[in-house]
Amino acid sequence: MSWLSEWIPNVVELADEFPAGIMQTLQMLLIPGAISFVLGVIFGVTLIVTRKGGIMENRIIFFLLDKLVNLFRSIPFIILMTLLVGVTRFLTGTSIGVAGALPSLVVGTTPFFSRQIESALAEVDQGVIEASQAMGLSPMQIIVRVYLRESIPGIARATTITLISLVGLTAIAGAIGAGGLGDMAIRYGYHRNMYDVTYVVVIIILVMITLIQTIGDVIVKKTSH
Amino acid sequence: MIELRHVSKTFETKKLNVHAVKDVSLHIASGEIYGVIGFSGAGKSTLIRCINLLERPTSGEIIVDGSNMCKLNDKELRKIRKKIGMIFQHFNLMRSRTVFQNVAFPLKDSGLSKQEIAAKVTDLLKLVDLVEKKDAYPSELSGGQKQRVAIARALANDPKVLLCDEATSALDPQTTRSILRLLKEVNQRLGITIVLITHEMAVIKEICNRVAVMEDGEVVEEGNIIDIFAHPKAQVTKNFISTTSSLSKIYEMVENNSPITQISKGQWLVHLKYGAGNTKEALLSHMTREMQVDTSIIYGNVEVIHDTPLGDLVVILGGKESDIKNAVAYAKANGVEVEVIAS
Repeated sequence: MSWLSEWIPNVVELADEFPAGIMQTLQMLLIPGAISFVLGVIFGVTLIVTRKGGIMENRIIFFLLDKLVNLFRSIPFIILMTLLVGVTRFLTGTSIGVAGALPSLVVGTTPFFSRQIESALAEVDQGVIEASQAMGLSPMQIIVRVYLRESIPGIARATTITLISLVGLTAIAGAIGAGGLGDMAIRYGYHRNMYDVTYVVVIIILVMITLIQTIGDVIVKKTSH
Repeated sequence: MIELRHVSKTFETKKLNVHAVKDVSLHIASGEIYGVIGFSGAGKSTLIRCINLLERPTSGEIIVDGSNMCKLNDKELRKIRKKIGMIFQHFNLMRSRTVFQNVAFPLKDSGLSKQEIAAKVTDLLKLVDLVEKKDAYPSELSGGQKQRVAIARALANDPKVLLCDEATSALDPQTTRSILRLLKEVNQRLGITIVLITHEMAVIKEICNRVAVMEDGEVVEEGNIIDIFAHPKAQVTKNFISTTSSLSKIYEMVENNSPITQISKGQWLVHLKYGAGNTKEALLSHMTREMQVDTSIIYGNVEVIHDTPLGDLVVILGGKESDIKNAVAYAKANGVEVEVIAS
C-alpha cells in the first residue's frame, strides 16, 4: 500500500469519500436518466406522429413541442440550473445535493433525449407505417408495434449517447453543489491542487462511460437484423 | 366488388394544385384480376391508394364489398382494411421481425390462439413456398422472397381484395414472372379480387382480365384485355402495347426508309392483324397459291393472352394491282385487319 500513498497520496487520504461520490454520481445518472427516457420517448413519439404527414398530424401540438424542445436545448446547463432554483426548491425542498440537482438534470436531458428518439423513430421506413395503416392498425398500435418496436436499436443508441452526455452534466451539477465525482474533482483536485484526485475521478468516469457504451453496443447488435 | 364513382384527388400545395386523379369511374367485378397501367405520374398509384383510403379522395365515392369507404368512421375503416390486403413496390416488411412474425403480425388482434396463428402462418408460408425461411429476417431474403412474404402477410386476414401497388417494379423479369404466377394462383385458388397497377404492359398481359389505361389522371381506355390488345384506341395504349413487341421498330424503319422495308413499284407493304380464331388460317399460302400474290414476311409476332392468340404480320405483297386488292379484300373477309403501310 505504501506505493499507493506515494503515487496518489490524496486519494488514499480521501478513500472514504470515493464510494459516496460514486453513489451520488450514479444516482444523478440513473434517476434523471430513467425519467428522461420515459419523457423522451413520449415527446419523441409525439413529435413523430404529429409532424406533417405523421399518423396523427397536429400542427399546433407539433409546433409547441418542437419550439419548447428547441428553447430548452438552447439554454446552457449551468444557466438552466440557476434558472430552475425556484422550481427545484418547490419540488424537492432543497436546491443543493443530489435531490437539488435532479430536476435540472431531467430538464437538461429530456429535450436532447426527445430529439434523439425522434430521429431514431424517423428511421422507420414510411412504407412500413403505410403498410400497417393498410392492415387496419390503430395509431396507438402503430406507435407501439411498429415505431417503437422497429426502432429498438436506434432507441438503444440514443439512450447510450444521452446517458454519456448526462455523465457530463452530473459533473457540472457537482460543481455547483450537487456532490458526486465531479464535485470531488473540483473541490479537491482543482481548488486544492490535489491532481491525483482529478486523475482517479477521470478514470472512474471513463470506466462508467465505457460500461454504458459497451452495454449499448451489445443491445444494438442483438436487436439489429 | 369495387366500384369507383367519379373519384378525383387533388393535392394542394402552396404554389399549385395537382390533380392526380380526375373523375375516374371504374367497376371491378368479384374474382377479377384488374390492371391499371400508366406511365409514372399518371395517377395510378394515387388511384389504388384511394381504394383503401390511404389517400382520401377529394370527391367521388368508393364502394368496396358494399361499404361506402368515405362514409366510414375510423374504427369501421380499420375493420374493412383488414379485409383488403395490400402489397407494395418496396415490400415494406418489418426489419425487426422474422418471416414468421411478419406474416403473423396482422393476426395479433384476430382472437386466434397461438396454435391457430402458427398453423395459419405455416399454411400461408406453404402457399408462397417459403416454409424453410420462416425464421429468417427480411434482410436475409432476396427481393422476390420479400415480396412472397408480403403476399403471405397481405393474405393473413383472408381478404376479399388484394391491392398490388407496383408490386413487381423492383424485381427482375424472371422474379416478376414467378410473383405474377403466385398472384394468379392466389386469385384462382382463393377467389380473391386483385387490383394491380404497373407501368409494364408485360405484367398486364401476363395475368390481367381487364385493364384501365391512365394518362394524366384520367382513364383514357378501359376494357377486356384481349380487346385492348387487339384494338387499342388511345395513343398511350398503343405505345404501351408496342413496348411488348418490336412492331414499332418496323414503323420506325419505314419512316427511316430502311432497306428492309423498301418496296419496289407495284408492291404493297401491309400490316395484318389477326384476332382470336383466325390465326390458324392458311391465309398467306392461300394468297400465294390461289391469288397469284407474292408474299414475303418481314415481321411476325403472336401474343398469347389468356390462351387467345393475337398475331401481327408485316408482309410485302407483290403482283398485279387487282390481285393484291383481291388478296386484301380476302384477308378482310376472313376477319383479319389490314393496314396498308405503303403502296
